[in-house]
Amino acid sequence: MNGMRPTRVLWSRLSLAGFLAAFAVVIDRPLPLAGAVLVGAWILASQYSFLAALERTTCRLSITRGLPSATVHAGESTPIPIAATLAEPTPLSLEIDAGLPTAATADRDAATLTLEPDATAATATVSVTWPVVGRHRFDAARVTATDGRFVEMVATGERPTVSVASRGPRRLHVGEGGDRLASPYGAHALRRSGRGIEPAEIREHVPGDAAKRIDWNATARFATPHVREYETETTRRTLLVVDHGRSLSTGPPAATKLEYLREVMLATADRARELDDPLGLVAVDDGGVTSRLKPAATTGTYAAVRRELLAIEPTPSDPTARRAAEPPARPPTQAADGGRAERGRASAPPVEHSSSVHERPTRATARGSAWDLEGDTDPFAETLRPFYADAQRYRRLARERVLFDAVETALTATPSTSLVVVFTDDSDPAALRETVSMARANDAAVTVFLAPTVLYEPGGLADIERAADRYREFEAFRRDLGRLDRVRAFEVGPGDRLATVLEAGRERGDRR
Amino acid sequence: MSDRQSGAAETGADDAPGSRRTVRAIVADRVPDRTVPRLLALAALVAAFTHAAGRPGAVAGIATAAVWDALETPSAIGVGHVALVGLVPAGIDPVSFALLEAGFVALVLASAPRTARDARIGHAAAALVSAGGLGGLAWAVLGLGGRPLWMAAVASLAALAGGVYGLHRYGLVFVRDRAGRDRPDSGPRPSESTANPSTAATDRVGSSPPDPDSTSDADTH
Repeated sequence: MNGMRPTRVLWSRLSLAGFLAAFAVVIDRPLPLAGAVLVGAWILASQYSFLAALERTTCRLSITRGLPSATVHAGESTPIPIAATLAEPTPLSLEIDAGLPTAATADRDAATLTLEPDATAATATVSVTWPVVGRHRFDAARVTATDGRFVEMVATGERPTVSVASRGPRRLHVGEGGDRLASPYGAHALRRSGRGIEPAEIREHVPGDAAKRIDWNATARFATPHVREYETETTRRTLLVVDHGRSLSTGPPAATKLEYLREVMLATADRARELDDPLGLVAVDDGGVTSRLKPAATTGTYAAVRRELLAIEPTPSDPTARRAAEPPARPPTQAADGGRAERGRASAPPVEHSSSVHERPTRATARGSAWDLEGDTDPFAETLRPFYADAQRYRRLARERVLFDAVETALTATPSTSLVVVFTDDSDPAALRETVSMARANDAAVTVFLAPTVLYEPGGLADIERAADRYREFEAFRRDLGRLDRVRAFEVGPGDRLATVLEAGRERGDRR
Repeated sequence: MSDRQSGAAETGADDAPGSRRTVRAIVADRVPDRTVPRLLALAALVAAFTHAAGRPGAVAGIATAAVWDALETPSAIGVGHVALVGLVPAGIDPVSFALLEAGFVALVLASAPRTARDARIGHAAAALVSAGGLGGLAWAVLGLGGRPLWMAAVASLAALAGGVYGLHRYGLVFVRDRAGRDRPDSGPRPSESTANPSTAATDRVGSSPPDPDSTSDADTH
């Protein structure tokens, strides 16, 4: 209780009593003093009645604050229902402040309940945003009671706490058709014996085994010639292909497709480093290749790949921002070209522009060269231009098949790549299928990590039946991909949402 | 018969956090279904005025009743007493004085506020004890002690201030502490953790732990 505050109404009554007493003294007659006494009696009786009513009210009042049912994440908005009920009506007017934690952002007016005299219940739901990570304690509910003459505030109630967790991918699920995958990258033992340094087994000598492979110790023990086998050492040249186009930005802040895929990318890169596999990276967005690192097993490459993976952001959805990053000399007619206008990032210019002329020409470099020639009035450029007459076709292809192009270029540049790991979503199944086929044709095993759009869209699960259908479509596509030889396809997404969709799918299946 | 205008006028300048409408609604309404006692009290008051000062007294009594109707009881008391000073300049006889004051006390009792609706006897007792105490003190200083009037006035006002403060302390100690005694131990319980999906904190004011913040406040008052 923070003390009773008299209102102006009460002050005016006290002043009246003072005036009457003073008046009595001035005119030297006790009659007005009797009035002062009566006014004083009225004030005291009113105060007593107010306190008695307040005491009864506090005994009958029950305030309920609904806490968030699950762990809250920073920046999330949670509805907090506040309810006040009185066992019996009270003559007092009550204002109940929910006592939200200081770190909570909410419409503070909405967090205040008003119980009019004789009302017995009031409810409100306030939307609270939690911008700060940590444990936040509610203040005690503050009840301000007034009868118009006196105001009293009673701060009371328990002080529950809310834990706010940081944002970011949570409950990451990587698996096939809802089945969780223990290790997305995995070891790659050949289960084949051969030359190496790790002993595998000892077997009896058979005709054809070289005499130098005989293990004489074992031969002495078993009395017949024995050979020691060793594990075959392998390295797997791995290329990470990361799509960070606009569609990868789907999802709540800090929990987008790309954020989830990034977790898998980093895990894959770490695993490759542990196994000393040469690791490379190709990152593409809607405009083309944004980053390219040739597979290598050096510490520098691993660090560079990791750095790139951490820095990758989805293509911004505002094309003007990207256009502003273009060199200003571009003629406007070309800048209006959709494909070109979306090319490149402010932070990392397309790689093909900086490619060395000594590298093998690829579609990307051809595209870049053709682009450089346009608008150039130099005689040399005039001469070369006819040779790039096909550039238009390349550019169209590039727009439609950025991923295909990037993977093909990378595989051409490093033919010994034995594993291509693609991180993308299901927005363009045809292009992805083509890319996977092409990679297989280049003798590479392919692992695809797919982010099903339905699991990321903010309202994606509103219509759960439709979500189940969409997931089924995705699953059919993923299974098609996974059925190909030397191809594995996994879905990557928030596990809780996936469970919801799968549950809905099962229920539908049961009904049918 | 109500204090509607007074409520509207006075709430306009009210610094209470309650909304203007709410305060007006509360001040405006006295205890319902008590019209008859109020009319009786007013009639008694007009009769006492008439007895004390004849026809002009009746007019003053009616005027006082009108003021009571328009404003609150304290205003009527003030206007009535000021009018009486003018009506009987030579002094009032003890019987008339007793009748008049009895009429005013009846008015105070009859116009109990809404907050007294569940405890009318308590309100009446508080009013009678206060009036008796303050009046007795003034009489003791003035009549028994033979002290000057200003001392009686100061004593009465000091007693009033002491009474208001005493009730304030009563509120702090009893209303808060009664709630505090009923409450379990304070501090967050594990069940209040948000990790539990079924959790919803229910704070029952009357049986909740005391607010640690308010403990210090209590000492400052």
